Amino acid sequence: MNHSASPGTGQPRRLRPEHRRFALVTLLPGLSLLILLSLIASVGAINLAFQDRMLRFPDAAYVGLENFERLFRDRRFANALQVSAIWEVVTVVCTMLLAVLLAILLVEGVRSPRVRNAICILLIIPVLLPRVSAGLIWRFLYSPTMGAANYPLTMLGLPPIEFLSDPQIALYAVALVDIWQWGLFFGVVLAKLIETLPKEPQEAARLDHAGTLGVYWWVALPMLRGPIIMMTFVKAIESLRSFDLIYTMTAGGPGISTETLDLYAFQQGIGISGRISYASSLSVLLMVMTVIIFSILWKRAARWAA
Amino acid sequence: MATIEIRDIGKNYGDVRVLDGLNLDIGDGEFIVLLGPSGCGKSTMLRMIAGLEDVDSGTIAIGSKVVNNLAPGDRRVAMVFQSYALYPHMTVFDNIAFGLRRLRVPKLEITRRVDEVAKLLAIDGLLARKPAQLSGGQQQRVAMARAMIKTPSVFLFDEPLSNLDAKLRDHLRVEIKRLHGMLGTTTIFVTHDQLEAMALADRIVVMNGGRIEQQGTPQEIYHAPQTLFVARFVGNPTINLLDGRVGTDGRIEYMSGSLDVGAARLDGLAPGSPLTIGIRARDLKLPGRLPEAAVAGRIDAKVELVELLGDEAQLDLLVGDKSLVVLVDGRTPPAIGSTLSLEVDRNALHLFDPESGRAIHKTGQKLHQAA
Repeated sequence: MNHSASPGTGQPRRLRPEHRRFALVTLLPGLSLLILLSLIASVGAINLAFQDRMLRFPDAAYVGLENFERLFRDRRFANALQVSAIWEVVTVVCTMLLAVLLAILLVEGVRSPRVRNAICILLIIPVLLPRVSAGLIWRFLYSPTMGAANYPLTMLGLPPIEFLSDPQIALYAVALVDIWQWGLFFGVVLAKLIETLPKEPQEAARLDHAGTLGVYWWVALPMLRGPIIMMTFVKAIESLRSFDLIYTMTAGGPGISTETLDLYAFQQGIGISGRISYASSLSVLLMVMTVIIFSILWKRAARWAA
Repeated sequence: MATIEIRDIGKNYGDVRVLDGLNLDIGDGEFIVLLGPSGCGKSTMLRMIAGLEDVDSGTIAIGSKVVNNLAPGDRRVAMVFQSYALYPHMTVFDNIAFGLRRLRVPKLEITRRVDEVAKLLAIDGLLARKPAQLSGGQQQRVAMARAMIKTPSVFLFDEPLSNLDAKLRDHLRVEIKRLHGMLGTTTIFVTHDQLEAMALADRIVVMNGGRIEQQGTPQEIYHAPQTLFVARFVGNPTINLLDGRVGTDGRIEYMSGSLDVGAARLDGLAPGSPLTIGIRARDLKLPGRLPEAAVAGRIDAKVELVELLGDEAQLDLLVGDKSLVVLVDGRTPPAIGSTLSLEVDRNALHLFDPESGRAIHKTGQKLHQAA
């Protein structure tokens, strides 16, 4: 499991010509579909990024790098960049922390496999919810007047916290929903992975004076290093696609305090501004950045996971 | 160094009773082998001593201190597993040093002690490698080094040689014996391999169905089995068993003849009562190999199959519809199809009550004769 899941390990095998031809033929349908769906759209976006097209005017002209120059002077863009970075770090780190703690709790705390499986099924439900539904559910939970999240506070006579209207809190309140969805799911995955580990090294560690948490820290989790790194990587990519959740919960507000890069691009291009070329340049920049950062991370992850 | 006292320990897995009120005393420095078929509870008992399984009833005391509620790490025991159980992500050095690091032993001392045990087990050239880069035998040496470095009061071995090939197994077996002689640490060794048990043990404890069938020195277990189960389980090839009845004048009747075992052996048994006769493959001799006084009787048998094993040849014989196995000198084995009149050594006969499976003889007398 841990070895087959790690990317890029091992030398690529040299294929015989007839095998190579077979590989090409079988890859062709999938590849052409990919090219059709993603490449055309990407080329279109790149093309748009060098024009000054707006939705309210029928004509447009090529303006070179002007859109990009404007981006670097745009403070709202800088804000979106920062929000995106915080979002990425907070959701990825907290999801993995929650997953690890939950997995240990599941394996150590629930001895009966049947009960554990039942709990696992319940814990998977949040990630099965469409993001929009999850967002709406939590919007009600967070509501200062009727939300369950504030219920204990008001019971104690404390003022309610306005989770989604407070610019200091809103981003983290939305991030919590993402962590709730993915942390629980990854916790179940990790618990199942821990169950598949051979028991003897962990028992040996217990005889070697390691406590319960020590056994996980020193032995079980390092044995799952490959899968954990891959899960982190998957979550990092998933966290980039936060648009639907943030849009349903805060739409980038209050103000621009939860406006990530994709939300900003949407506001610029599709929202009231209709500056489709400017939004495209933003998307292109976002794409280039992600490709570069994740290519580096991918290589690193492959090495760490090995 | 420590004695171990096990009192009435019991263990259930759900409805299955795997250990049923077991008692065992182990002396300081003794090498005990728990021997039995899989599922007899021997590994469970070892794991309970290690603290890896809860004790349902009874007590376990190490060095006269009850350890039932002590964490595995606090029992001063070290264990070697069948699967080696090395930490796969750590180097050999880190594997061996793991326990000492948890105890916060100073770095310099750790290095010194790791070097010491690594030299002792001839793995000092492998310290920088990962377990996956080692052979099975090397991995098990690392596991032994990891156990030894803690200077435990008790060594526990859970079938440590079962995953190794035959040659390595013999080699490491000698090594374990040598280490025990050198360190003198109380050792409990679990195996289902009777040869291993014979070779290593000061005392063998034969287990079956969660109970102790018999305990004693390897000689006692082999030459004076107290139950049919022990007789069948220990010894290779498996002991020959024939159904018989008590006859008159100290004779036993079996299907095609009778054996004269002496009236003293059958004292107190009613004529006609059933018996199971056990004869080891080496105790059935070709004609003329025994002094006449020691011959209890002759069994006529037809040679079905001859297997050459080197020094010896194993004959599969037919007596009526019953098959017997006999070991003879491998240089001049009888031909297939020939009929032999095998002589039965009176002193090597084992008699059992087929009802209870208990042996019918006086242990002391028997041993004396065998020696």
